[in-house]
Amino acid sequence: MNKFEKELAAVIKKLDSVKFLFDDKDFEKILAEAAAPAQDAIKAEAPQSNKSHLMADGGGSYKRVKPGNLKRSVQIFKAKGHKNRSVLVGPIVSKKSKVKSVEGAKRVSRARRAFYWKFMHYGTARIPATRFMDKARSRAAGAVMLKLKAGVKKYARKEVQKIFE
Amino acid sequence: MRADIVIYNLLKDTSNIFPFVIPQATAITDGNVYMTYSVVETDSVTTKTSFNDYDRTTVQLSFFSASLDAAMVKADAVRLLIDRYSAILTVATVEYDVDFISFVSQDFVGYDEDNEVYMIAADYQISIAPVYIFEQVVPCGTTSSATLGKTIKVEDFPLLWLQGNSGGGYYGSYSADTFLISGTGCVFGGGVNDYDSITSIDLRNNSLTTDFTNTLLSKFKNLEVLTLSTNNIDVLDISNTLSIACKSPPF
Repeated sequence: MNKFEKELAAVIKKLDSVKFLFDDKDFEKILAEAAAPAQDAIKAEAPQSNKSHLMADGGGSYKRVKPGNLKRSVQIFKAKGHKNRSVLVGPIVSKKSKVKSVEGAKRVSRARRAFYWKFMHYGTARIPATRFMDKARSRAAGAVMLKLKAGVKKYARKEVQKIFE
Repeated sequence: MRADIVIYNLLKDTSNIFPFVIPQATAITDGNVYMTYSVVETDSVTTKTSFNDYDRTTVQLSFFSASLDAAMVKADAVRLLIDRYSAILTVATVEYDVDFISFVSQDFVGYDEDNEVYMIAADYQISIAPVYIFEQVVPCGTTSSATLGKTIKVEDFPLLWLQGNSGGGYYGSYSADTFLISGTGCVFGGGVNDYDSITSIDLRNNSLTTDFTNTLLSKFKNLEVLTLSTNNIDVLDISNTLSIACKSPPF
């Protein structure tokens, strides 16, 4: 666990201990706002082809996608059926992905998907690895932390005020 | 530090390994396992007591094979070979002081339909000490660093004593098995290659009383001729210096 991950774990632990101060929607908004810099960083680091290409789309069918499809597939979402309040950022991989939209973030679209992100990230036998997710994580770490802390202050104040209304 | 050289040389004899990608001319669907390596990132390691004595490099190893089982077996074999590896690796006369190689993670990336192979990606962290040149100024506390301005035991740094001072040696500051190099900080006192390059030592007529202990002489693995005439030497232990030939006693 690196320095950022330790710091993030500490903030999440603190957040978890005061989650009763927030309603579900506000809690999601905090996480969504904090996830935005991570989404921007992944989009910036994701490789882009020069021309449109075919993408395997299940059942032996192929779909033609425009350059930048991988960047567009990077979205903010939450896992369907999970009770823990967490938000994920990354490429949507399938039209059957069990994900839901997050309050405060753009609605999730499974039409924008790129199952092949891992082949770009780890490379293939013929394509060098880009490790764009790792680069994005390093790039966005500071901003995510700031947004997370700012979001907590912003929404907690409202909630505390509500108690004394 | 060249972690890629370390990884390649550790695996090249037992694996089909290439940097970054497998050349187009190489067919990869024959059931054998093909590997690639690529450096992901390099971080410096700074602690309370040392300043960047080591670089920590993350290297991705990828395993490709038409047989998933073969790829997994190979990934395990590689892990067995290099995880927790620690040694000085010599490649083309350059020493790589590998402090530690540690396994970080392994992902089954999936089946690559374009190339018709299964793929596994594994990350390893490699800590390597910088490569130093004899007598070069180095941070104190690193491998083979000799402290300036303080007495140094001859048996700890015999090469520095013999060939330091730009080849002139440090006999002038020699006293009772110790010598002194003026200045502050530390210098590199020689590595395995530097010692291995020495095949003869001629110290005749230097008024030496040095104890030529096993610790001192065993550092020179390729030493063949040791000339010590016209000195006052009481101790000469060549029990572990296999290549040496004793020619003209007494000394």
